Amino acid sequence: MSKIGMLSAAAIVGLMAGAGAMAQESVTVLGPSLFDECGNAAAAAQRTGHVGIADMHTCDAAIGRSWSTVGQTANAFVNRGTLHLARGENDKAINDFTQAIKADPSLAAAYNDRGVALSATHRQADAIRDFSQALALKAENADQVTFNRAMAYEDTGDLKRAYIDYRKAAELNPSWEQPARQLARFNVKASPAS
Amino acid sequence: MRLFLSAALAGLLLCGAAYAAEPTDDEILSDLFVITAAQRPVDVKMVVQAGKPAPAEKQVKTEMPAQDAPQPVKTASK
Repeated sequence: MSKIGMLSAAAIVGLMAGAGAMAQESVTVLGPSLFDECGNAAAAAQRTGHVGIADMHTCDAAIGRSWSTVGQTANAFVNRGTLHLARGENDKAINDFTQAIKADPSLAAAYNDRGVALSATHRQADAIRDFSQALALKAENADQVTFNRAMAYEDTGDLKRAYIDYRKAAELNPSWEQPARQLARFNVKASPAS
Repeated sequence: MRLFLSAALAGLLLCGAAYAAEPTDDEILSDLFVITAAQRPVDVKMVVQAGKPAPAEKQVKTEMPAQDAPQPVKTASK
């Protein structure tokens, strides 16, 4: 090989190495925002009750990502479950919440939300079990979970436990008017036999 | 006589306080109390909790198949 040829080859190798080094310095990995978008869609669905097909696709994509963390996957299942719930697709919601629990058995929100979906399908005993599990896992919004369980108890006709849970929810969050409003419907009287 | 009246008044106050106090959970569950409730309005809904970003301790990476790995985006080099 001529001297000029060798110099050219060296220059090309040098340029490639330099370009590689520069590219490595400015690498941006796309991805994490998809989980945030899915979460935002779920939050919006709770506020508005509206779920667009794009929201569902976003959460589908988030769940489908094979390089996600266990926590991200579990949360994405919860979020897609809430989208199904908002669409009235209770069985699909229950399935997603169950998948979330399988991925992360300590995720209290998944138990709470599955309880809501089970209650919507008139499985109050199972719903109560899930709400209790969410509370056992120290759910962040224990007032809300307790309120949900109160409603489930009420739907089974167990007014005593419903009353106790509404009262507990009111104690946990005195500024939330909903539990107090429900308590106002209750009438507690000393038993004539006592 | 005065002592008797004072004791009686104190007793009445105690009974009144006990009557006015909220029954405990155990008392509610016992046969001591009967609970009735008006129909719950239909617009009262259960509260759903959306998933939140995973906390730091849960950031355990799962296995990353090569063909499914995120593609780096090359930005314009200076």
